[in-house]
Amino acid sequence: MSFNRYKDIIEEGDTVILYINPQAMYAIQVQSIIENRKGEKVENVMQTKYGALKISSLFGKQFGSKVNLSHGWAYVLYPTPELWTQTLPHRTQIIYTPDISLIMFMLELKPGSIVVESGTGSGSLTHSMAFRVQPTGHIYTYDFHEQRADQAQKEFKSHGLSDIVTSQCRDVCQNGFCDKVSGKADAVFLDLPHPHLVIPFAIKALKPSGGGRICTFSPCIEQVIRTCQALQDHGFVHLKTVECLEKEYQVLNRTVTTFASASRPPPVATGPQNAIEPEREDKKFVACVPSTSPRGHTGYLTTATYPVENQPPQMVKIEIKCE
Amino acid sequence: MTATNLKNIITQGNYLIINKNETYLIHQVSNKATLKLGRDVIDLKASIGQPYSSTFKLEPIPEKKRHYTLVICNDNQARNQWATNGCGTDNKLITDDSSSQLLSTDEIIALKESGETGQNIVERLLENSKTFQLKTEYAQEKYLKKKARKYCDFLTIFKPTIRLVTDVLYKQQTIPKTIPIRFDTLAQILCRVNLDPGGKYLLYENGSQGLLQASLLNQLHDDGCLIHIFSSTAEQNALRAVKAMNFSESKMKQMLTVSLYEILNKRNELDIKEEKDEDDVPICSEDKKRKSDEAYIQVKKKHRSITSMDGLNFLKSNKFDGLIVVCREEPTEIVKTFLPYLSLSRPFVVYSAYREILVSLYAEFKTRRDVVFLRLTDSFMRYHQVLPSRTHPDVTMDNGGGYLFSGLFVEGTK
Repeated sequence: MSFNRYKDIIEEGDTVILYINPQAMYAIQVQSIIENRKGEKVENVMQTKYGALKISSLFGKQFGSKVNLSHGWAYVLYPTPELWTQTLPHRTQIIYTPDISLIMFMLELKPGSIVVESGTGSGSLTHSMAFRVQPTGHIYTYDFHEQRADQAQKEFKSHGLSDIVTSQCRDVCQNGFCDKVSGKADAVFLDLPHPHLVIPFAIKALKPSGGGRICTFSPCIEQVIRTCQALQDHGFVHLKTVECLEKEYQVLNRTVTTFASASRPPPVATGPQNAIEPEREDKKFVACVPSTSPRGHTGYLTTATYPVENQPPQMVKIEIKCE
Repeated sequence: MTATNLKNIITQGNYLIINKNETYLIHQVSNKATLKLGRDVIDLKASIGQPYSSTFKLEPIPEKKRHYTLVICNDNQARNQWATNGCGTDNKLITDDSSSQLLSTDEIIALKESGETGQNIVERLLENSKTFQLKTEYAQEKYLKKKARKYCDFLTIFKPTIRLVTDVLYKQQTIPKTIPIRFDTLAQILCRVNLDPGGKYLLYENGSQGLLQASLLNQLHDDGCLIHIFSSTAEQNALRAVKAMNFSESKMKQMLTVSLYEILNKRNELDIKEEKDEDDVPICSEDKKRKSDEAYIQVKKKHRSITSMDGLNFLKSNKFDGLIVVCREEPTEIVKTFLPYLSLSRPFVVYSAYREILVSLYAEFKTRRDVVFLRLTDSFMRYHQVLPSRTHPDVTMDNGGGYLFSGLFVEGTK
């Protein structure tokens, strides 16, 4: 119960992010007592590489405060969608923050937006979207994998998002979206193997007044080509396909040997006169180093707008046939 | 007609996004409702009362050269399409000798000025092109697209959204005078600051024409609040994006503006009240550029004289959920000044067009004990051309996304 709104004090049942360093962040459920493998109720103690943390010691602490581990320290952070994306249990390949930010921006989400999403996956994007459209908006999310949809549903409930997110198991390629979302959606997001099959259902879900947005995420260009063709065939306009990769830099203090030191004569191996080494002249500087193996590809994002429906082209054709 | 319907109708006095081909522009419908687009003058009266996202055909006004009125035309099929009749397989027979088009430039200009439709002009061009039939199917498509762009006589009017406004402004800004914020950078800022619609946000912005204020206001629910800290070196037209969004008065009230000077010179309430009148007069008379922009003064004045006190008090008596710094100035001192106003475990984001500035800020912040999860990033963003058998990344990229530095404010070590 801490995902829908910022709060300051940690209580039982909250999720917190234990931050040791950017490479070691863990999402933990704040429960003082848990069941061990034998089914006995025991005190919840978390083991980190800097020692143990008694979970009950977190109660009443402020989000953002420092906690002591037996051999070091860590910070307990509020689970923002961005931190959740970095720490959530993976059930599938997930969408990361750079793509999430673009998806939400290009779908023009704001408080009150009604969004249809498929598939739910691990719920990374769903959490971000829910935070963005609350308190009056809603996310309807579908996954064709029953266990995944179930788990997601439980997670949304325990995170206090049940008022904002409706999760369901459904194969949208076959059956389309639920009737209750027909004509209601401001935006549709598709991340599934065959997005082009879902385009007609997406049109049914979008508000008939026009201007609705669609976004598909596909790792392969072949999927993109089929999607674009389907979008065009169904009258979508302003098709854009974009890829965006985040490049991260480390800022480090570094030292290099100067030209003066390098151009000195080589030291003679023996002899007492060489016992005192000449002082090295080094240059210190602040280096900005790109990460050595950044992500090179995530997926292509294709976005389009559904225009005002004054005279849908199909209807014109039917009239001609009747004559 | 219900209120929600009215919101989707083009109304006089509102700002619109006008799209003709690849050109997008922000335009306010004045009483005269005319629009100058290049050398053309377009009468927008026919669009008033129509729903947003409508497409209109430009109809030439007979007596006046390059003057047009609008006729609504939402039928996609009626838009420019030309029949082609056979094509070549390669370009070995096509030579560039400038004689492929039989019509002379003067004849083409005469055609356009005679009020001929774009459809007919392009048809004439095709009839008179010696090489069109020899071009490959793909080359023909490209040729038609190019001609359609030049002789297009349709325009579409959109309701301004942050996405469209960002794109329009991005193309118009130039470093170092103003800050071009690319859409993916803005999207990242909104994500990194973890925008809670009911949260309280601190923004120091200077140079983005109000794009940050507009996008934050757009993302806030009724209970959210934004404090915009402005400086004495504010740009001209500093609220262009905010105005373009046609925000309601109640929405505008969610933004309080406070000057950096007043915050730093922690004067007590009485002092400010006494000096208020004197303060406002010289600012208006000194700066003639600002005076020219009447709306700017109105908005600014309203916030200064009515809510600046509220803003200042609000700032002093509240903890905030996020700090965003997007400015032309060196941001280090600004970030350091406002970081303590944040609640714990809340993010801050700093934008700069220059990596060096953020590198030194990062180096300094690495030694601080009250910030974690420091990140310095930029992005590699490119568009793709998606066409059957011709899909590839666009040949030119845009490298103007700028840099972002972000982190989380936490409990410091005593």
